[in-house]
Amino acid sequence: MNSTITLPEIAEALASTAGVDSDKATRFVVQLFSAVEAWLAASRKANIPGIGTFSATEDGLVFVPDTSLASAINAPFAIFAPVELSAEDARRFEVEEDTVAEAAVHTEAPREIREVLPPVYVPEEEPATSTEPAPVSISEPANEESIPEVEPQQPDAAQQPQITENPENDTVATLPEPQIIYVARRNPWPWVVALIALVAGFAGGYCLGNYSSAATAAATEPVEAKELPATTSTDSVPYAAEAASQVVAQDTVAVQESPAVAAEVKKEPVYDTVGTSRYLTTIARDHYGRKDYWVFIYETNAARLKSPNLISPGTRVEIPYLGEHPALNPDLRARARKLAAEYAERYNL
Amino acid sequence: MDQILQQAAAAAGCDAAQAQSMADALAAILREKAAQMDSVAIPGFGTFVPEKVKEHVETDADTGRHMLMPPGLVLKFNPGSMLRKRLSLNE
Repeated sequence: MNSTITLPEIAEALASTAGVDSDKATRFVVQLFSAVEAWLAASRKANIPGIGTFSATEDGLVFVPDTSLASAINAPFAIFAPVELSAEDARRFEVEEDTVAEAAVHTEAPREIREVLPPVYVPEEEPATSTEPAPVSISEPANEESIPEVEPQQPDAAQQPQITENPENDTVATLPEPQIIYVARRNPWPWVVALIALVAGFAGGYCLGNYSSAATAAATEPVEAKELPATTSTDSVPYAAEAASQVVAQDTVAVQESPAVAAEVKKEPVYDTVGTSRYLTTIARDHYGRKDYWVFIYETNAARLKSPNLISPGTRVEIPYLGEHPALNPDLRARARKLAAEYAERYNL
Repeated sequence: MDQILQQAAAAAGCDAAQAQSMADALAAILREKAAQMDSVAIPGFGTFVPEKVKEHVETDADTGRHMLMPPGLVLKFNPGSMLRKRLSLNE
């Protein structure tokens, strides 16, 4: 099947059939077609009895097989005979052939079939159901079954004039249904929403962290201020959280009740100690809620300190009072930035 | 006997009876191989190729009659490049 027989195989078959040796058979085949070529060159036509006729034309070499050979080859299809068709049948046959060929080439067969078919099926059916199934099942037997199912629905006289007048509008009217499906399938980019939610979460967390640290710093200040006169000491022990929790309520009430006393108390200095891992920035963050307020601590203790980067551990520093909620004071922030720039320029920080 | 067969027999060195029997055998080979959808290649000349023809509509230009032609199996010949060149045939 679909293989090619070469000259040695032909010669062997000829030798066994005609009773000659294969060399002679090979020579005969070669000389036979050489003679055919010579005749074609001479008279543009050559005939081999039992095989066929070769004709050299302007379109090329034409081979017409011998009648007996052609009929023998076509024997499996000999039972078929040509049939005369009407013009309508011939046109329909050609259309079906074209559609089958197009469907074999393109996967989008329904579009082609919809163009080829006249609006025979579309007007007879309801607009919503006619467009989709009709083109798909044209070449299938199920289509012929679907047509009679639609015909009993025609008695609706109100629909027929609309369909016959403008069948194209009916096909257009059926379009919104798939459009609605496509709109529903559109996805609102869930990953974008998730990214926005993530960014918002980070921003909210950052703001809450800043606010809570400022609030805790503000809450600890009255404790520090009140604890010093109670202990009459300059040590930094009163910063402990336990002591703060014990006197927070009493201190805030006392400060509110007697502002003059509170003002005097706030003027009392508070001290802290620089450690190996406790720098001015750490102390400033603990006392003010902002580590960039270290400049105020340094400014207060500048007479005893050399460079902000050269403070030895164990050095006690005075913590100046910066007012209520210093972390929320924009003036202090601006002044802190100014001082930081000044110190950075002075000490090459 | 045909002149081509006589010429081939003379060139191959065989008598007329052998040439006729070999020509008949060659036709039988073509018939048998074409039925099996096999091609027969003649070196320097061309290839005999069986082809299936689908059913189709033919229209008579004179009468306008449409005929549905049945499918079939035909034997085509593809000339070789050397033959095409020697005969100055178009592609």
